[in-house]
Amino acid sequence: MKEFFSNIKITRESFTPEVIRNLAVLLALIITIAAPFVLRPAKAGHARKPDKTLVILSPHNETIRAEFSEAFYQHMLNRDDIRVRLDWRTPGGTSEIEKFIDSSFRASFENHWKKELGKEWKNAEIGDSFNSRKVDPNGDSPGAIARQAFLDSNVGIGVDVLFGGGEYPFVIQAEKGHLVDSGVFDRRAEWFTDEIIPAEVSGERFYDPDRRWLGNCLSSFGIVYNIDSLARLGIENPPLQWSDLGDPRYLRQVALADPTKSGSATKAFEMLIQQKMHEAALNLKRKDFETEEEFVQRAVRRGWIDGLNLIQSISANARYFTDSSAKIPLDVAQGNAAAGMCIDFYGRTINELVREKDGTSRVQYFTPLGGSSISVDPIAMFRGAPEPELALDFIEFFLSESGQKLWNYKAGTPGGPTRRSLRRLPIRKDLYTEENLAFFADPEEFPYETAVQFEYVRDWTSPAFDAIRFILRCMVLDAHEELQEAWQVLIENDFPPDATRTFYSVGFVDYDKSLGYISDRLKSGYKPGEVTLARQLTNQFRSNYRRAIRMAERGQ
Amino acid sequence: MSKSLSIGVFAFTVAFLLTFFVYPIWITIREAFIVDGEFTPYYFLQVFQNPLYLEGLKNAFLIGLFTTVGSLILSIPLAVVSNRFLFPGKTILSTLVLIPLILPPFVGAIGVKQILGQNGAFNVLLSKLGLMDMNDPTDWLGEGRLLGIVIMNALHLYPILYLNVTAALANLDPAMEEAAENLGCPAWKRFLKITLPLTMPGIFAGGTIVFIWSFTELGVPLIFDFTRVTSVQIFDGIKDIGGNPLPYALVAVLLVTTVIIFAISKLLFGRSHFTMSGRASMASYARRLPAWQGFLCSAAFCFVIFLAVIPHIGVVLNSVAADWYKSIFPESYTLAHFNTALGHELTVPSIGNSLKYASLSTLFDILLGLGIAYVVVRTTLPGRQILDSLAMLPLAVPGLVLAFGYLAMTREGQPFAWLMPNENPTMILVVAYAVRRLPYVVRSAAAGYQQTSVTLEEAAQNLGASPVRALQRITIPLIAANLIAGGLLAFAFAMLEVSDSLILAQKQEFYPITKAIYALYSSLGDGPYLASALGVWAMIFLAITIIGAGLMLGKRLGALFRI
Repeated sequence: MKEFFSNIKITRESFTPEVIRNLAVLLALIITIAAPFVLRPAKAGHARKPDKTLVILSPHNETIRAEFSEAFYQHMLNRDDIRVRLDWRTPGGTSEIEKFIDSSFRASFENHWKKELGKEWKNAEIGDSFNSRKVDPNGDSPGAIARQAFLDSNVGIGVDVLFGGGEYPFVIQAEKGHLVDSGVFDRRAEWFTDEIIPAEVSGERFYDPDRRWLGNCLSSFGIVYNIDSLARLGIENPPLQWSDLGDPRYLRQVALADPTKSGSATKAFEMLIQQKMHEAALNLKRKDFETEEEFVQRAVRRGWIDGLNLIQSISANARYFTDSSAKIPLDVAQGNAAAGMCIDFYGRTINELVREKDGTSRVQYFTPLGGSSISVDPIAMFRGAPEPELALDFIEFFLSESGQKLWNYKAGTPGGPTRRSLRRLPIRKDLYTEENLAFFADPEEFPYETAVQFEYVRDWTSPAFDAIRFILRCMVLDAHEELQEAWQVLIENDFPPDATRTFYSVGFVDYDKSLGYISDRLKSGYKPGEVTLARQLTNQFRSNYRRAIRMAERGQ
Repeated sequence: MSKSLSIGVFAFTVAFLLTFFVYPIWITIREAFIVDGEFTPYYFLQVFQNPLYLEGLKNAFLIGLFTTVGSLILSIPLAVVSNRFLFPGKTILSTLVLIPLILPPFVGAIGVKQILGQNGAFNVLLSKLGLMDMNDPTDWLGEGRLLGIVIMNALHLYPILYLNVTAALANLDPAMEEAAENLGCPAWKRFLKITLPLTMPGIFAGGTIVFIWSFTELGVPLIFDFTRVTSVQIFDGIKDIGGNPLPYALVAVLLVTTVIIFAISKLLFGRSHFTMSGRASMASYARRLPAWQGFLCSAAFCFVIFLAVIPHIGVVLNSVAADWYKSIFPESYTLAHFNTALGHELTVPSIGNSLKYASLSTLFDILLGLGIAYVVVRTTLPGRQILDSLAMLPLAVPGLVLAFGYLAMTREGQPFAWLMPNENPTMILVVAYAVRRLPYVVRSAAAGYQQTSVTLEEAAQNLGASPVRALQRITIPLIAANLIAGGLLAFAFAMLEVSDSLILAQKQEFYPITKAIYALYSSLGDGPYLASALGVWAMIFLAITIIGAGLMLGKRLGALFRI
């Protein structure tokens, strides 16, 4: 044996460059593939075959998903001695989820219609009607019959729960008939009071009056900013109000959420307009001949124009509009943008993430007082849920005190999350006690007090919700290049009055027109009309901006 | 191949593309063409009446054109140098040239911003050198965006051209050039009159892919926040919660435009191919250069590779950074992100899944690609040009459009539900990846067929070999370099495929690695770092695969590519 080895001579010469190269590649490949296996976690108890599985469709982040899976597993194990696995389906953001639901229900209902009811399927008549909010089920048309058949059915898509994404998609899905009452309102009637979960706060609904969805935690849009960037731009006062972001010194330094891709972003812009309406009501003087109602109406119209103008200025400063909620705080943290519009819990998380040892942080988050409403992030059960009982247990648990604590308790506290605080605010008002707040990651946040700073007057802007999104698309998104160029020329020429007036002229989308023919056009559901209108409005805005450029260059 | 077999292959590939390419697109975009049960070209025509969309198309065209030119300028000299000369580090550099292609999804943009952002490493470096005031930094990503997009695209995509041109040069018979040289033709004229025309199939193959890719590229314009380009307009429109049918019409316009441009460029550049009656009669004629010239060649390779991997460097440093802000390199380093990302319960299964999906789909692509390219190049069947265009179109279709089409057609009760039994997406994902990555293999195979004379195959048949055997023993070995080139691209890009993975792999146990990266990306706070870490893992794996493939095939690949 000894001889055998002594015969193998590994000398320096046997390591030819080729051998070394091959060995290196082989070694690299082995290390690469082995690394994840070595680091793989030991199988936890709940990785075993579950007794039951609950399927959840959600845009929630991985941190929330992991903590909720763990908490619900423990809860069900303790309560019923069963192992429950949460099967999270995450096709993407709001719009992917909506398409996923629509496509799935369409296929399921087609199957039901043809196989169970034995009827003939027509894409246009049946497929476009069965879940259309615009079709009245009480009728004789084929569409109405399909709609009624759907609402009577237990057609499902193999998913139990829809969780998160803001109020807007839930309202839409509920109206389509995709969501149903989970039964939690009956089982836990005592929770739905003004002291625990109120129906409405400052004009914001906290649950569906028809019980198809209900809020689970609260969130709001605020401003996130980088103090280094502000110093560099020579801005002394941090942006505490939306209007601060319209300051020309922020040129190309603002990051905004895209109102066309998310209902909560549209909501934030709606709030900004409402704030301007409230301001107008304070600043304008009531004329002698005006009634109180007439005065308010005048203030609302003035506020609408002011709000749109402010959105123009802020958008002209914008680098981009994004639908990725994580992108804005990240860009601000790295100084790729100086300030941005951001959902509260992302802002708070990033603030903590880049905090220095001395407690200071270059990223600050602020909810503009009186400029942002507190709205809910809901939860709901799908029609035809495969596990309706379990879905009810899930919804109930995360509305209970122990479930609610997960939203804001610090990591590692009793009843809190295990790895990282979720930094979101629970919906239950009775949870905000001194005793509990000691464990809160954000004990200084009192959403129920912040909410009353702002009175959301539903009648003022809610009927124009779709119109706001539509106008913003034409005014600042599609025309963004021209908007920004005009803004830059205005800045360079010190805002000559005529050019500035042209830039801000939005009379063709004033309050009455927006609630009038623009909203009508959108509600009609006649898409060709909508497409033409969008083109006309965009062209109008673009030509305004171009005109403003020419005028400003002439010093007008 | 006999006529009946050719027709069979033709019929099968057409049927396959109609079923798994045209049909899913139609399911998704039909709402732009069917209103109240009736067909209408209204939206399609609306696109041409809207100056916004026309500008978008114009910008897309400019981006495509200049990216192609830029990639040609980068890749042809490199390919020629690597074909002709021996220089220090040649083997490793010729392989490394491909690395820019493998940039993981979601985190690439962060990598770019860490380097080129206002507070990014590049600006800090400039200010340290006294060339910039950090109080007034240049906003590289915010200014001159069209140029920026073209540069970044060209640096990202030139390897595709490089790969195809190298394969084409390898197929060249040096005797041709020698003949010209003997007849007194000067070097530059030899290059223009002999080498370039003979390499045209490779240039055309790579050039069309680069053009269509950049013409429809979404990620890079998004890094520059440039929205007035068709791909971004479609992406924004599809995600519009107002339910806007125009983006779907825009998809159709984009597809039609792509076909037209492809057809025109084929007329202009794709027809003049000269086949060679034999393979190179000499093993290799790369010659050793004097030290300083050789060093210059290596330096050129290094320089281009360095520029092209700037985003990758950003991602790699980000994956090990504790905080990286206003400094050239991260201030402190940590391996915690790797620990968490690689140790995540999603990671190991997703690696296995991705390997399975990507290798099966690559295999499928090679079979399909061989068949389609054969029909297109070798037969005179009517309609073969349509097949050729059809096989290129997957490059131009936005990922989400196809993905939602596949989702709809595999739902329970639908004709293709059997492709997703019990929500197991393996089969439909293999098909989806194969369709999307088909163009690479088709183009490479077509270039191979074009350069290889059909007489060799005919000779084999005359000597009694069956058509299939002739293909198997003669043609396929001769075009192996092309197939390996196309196959490597198909595999690498299948591993990095995003849209189909997000939409079709719903259950966690079936996640491919891209969806795992997406899931990690959404972790609160450290998500981008974790995603970078897993992305770096994918990058390393693919880099080793590509380099390893080179070494495993050893001298054979060397001879094929003339490395």
